[in-house]
Amino acid sequence: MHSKSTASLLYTPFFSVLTKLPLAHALLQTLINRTLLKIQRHHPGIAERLSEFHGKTLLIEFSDLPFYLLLPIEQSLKVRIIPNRSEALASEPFATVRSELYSLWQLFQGKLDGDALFFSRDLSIDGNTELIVALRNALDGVKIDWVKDVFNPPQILIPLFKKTFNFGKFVSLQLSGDLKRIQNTVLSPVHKELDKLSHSTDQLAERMTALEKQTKRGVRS
Amino acid sequence: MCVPTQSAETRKYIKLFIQSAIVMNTPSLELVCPAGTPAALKDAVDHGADAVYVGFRNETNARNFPGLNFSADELAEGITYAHAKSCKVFVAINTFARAGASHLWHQALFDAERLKVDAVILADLGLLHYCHRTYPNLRKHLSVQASASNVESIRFYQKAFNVKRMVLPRVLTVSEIANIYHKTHAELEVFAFGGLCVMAEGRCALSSYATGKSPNTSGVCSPASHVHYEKQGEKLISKLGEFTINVFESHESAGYPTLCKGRFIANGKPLYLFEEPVSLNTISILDKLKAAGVCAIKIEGRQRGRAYVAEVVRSFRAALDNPEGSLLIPATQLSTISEGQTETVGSYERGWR
Repeated sequence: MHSKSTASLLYTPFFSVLTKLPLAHALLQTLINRTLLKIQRHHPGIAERLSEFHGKTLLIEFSDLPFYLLLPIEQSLKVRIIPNRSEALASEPFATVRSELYSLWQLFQGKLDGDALFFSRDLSIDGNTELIVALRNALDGVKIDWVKDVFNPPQILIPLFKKTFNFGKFVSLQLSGDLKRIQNTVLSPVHKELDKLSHSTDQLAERMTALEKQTKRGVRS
Repeated sequence: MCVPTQSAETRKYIKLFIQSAIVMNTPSLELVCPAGTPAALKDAVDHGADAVYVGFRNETNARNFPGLNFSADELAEGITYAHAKSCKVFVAINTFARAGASHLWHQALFDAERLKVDAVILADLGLLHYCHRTYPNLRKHLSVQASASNVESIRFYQKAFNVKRMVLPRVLTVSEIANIYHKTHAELEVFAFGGLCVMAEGRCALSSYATGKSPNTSGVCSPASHVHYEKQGEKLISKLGEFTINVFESHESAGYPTLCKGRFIANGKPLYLFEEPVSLNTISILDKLKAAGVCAIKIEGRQRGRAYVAEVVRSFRAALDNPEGSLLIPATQLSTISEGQTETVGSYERGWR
């Protein structure tokens, strides 16, 4: 239902190794929390919409990343990166949401509908549904202006920042598109071979069924 | 001079033709769109809504979900934004006031009046009476929750409370809607897209039976606090309170955990006994709705994210603005955002009749 091409950059072996390093976790955690802090400063409504869940913890599971995010619901939202599932579950999360990084990222930005992701089974949830619904609504209720809210440059530089930001997005899309094309070129012969094999297996199965029927008729007569 | 005689049947058809021609030349259908949050309101306005409907953050509206809806301050900002772009704002105060707590509903009306909303959407007879008496200049629309589905009922709301617009329940065929319009000349608003309920709007007690909370009084059907999902291998099990609502196989789309769309075992087979999880989509019959006398179409889904709002509003705006009406339907991804990922025109065209 949605393109995952922009996420291709994340599935390189380099990134896979990088995401397992404790130092990378610490850096990523700091980066996420600084970003969250800036977003909340511009959008106090997020904390207000979550106020009845203070003290509860949400576990975010990425089906394509080797770590987990714990999000305690407090006045100031901060995540904790946890490298393994057992440690994450030890925190007794009130609810768990599970999907691919790309889908969760798009959901966070309000570019994908959470219910639609759930209908298509691209997102699954566990535990207290109320907390997940509240968090979805709280995040969906704000429009994040990445340049203004997060980078907060001087007023005069905002147009320049926006142009740079949009150019960065364009380059990233182009690169991920190129990577996707390379991936398709490499994998398409393998896919064709697999399709052929699958077709032959289906034909064999049909012949087996026909033979079984013939055998049964033969036994009866 | 020879004057041709006309049978009663012919006269009826000529009259209907003239009325339809008048309706077809009236302005386009008003597009009434949902907004559960301030960001969704902005998206609805930006993508072409003629009106946006919202609710306060409490049980006075039928979408009382956690983290959803508007505070009075947020609504004030939303109204300023919408009015600056010539978009109206309606406030749904469409639940039935709980005994001993009517001050909540009165406060909601007070705030709506104070913030200068374009209309309030009401269902409760007592609240309609209170509003008519206290705020005679506040425009009133009848909520679908009131379930007014016949001429007498609509005439009653017009006469007793000066209700200007009726949101019709999703039980009527297009010809039944036309009949209501021709006999009442009321402003008629119908649902055009989104979730379908079992069509006992305002009178359904299924959620209340399972959880103690219902859309009629608590403002929420199948409250999230009572919903649980379990994974069992590749299967997804949805539960509402103590009841198992559905078991989805790995290849199936999931649906909302409402009893009316549950799959239950009858005669040894798992079946959708009430209704299948499908979404209403009338984009192909907009011209028929307009010809029947409908003046506004409503998109369901204040509980949905702003990506849904943007997509549906954009698609319906394009369909309405197209001179060929619904004959040239814009390419959309509407089915992917629909419940059950399938669509129906519901009762509007009952093929089984």
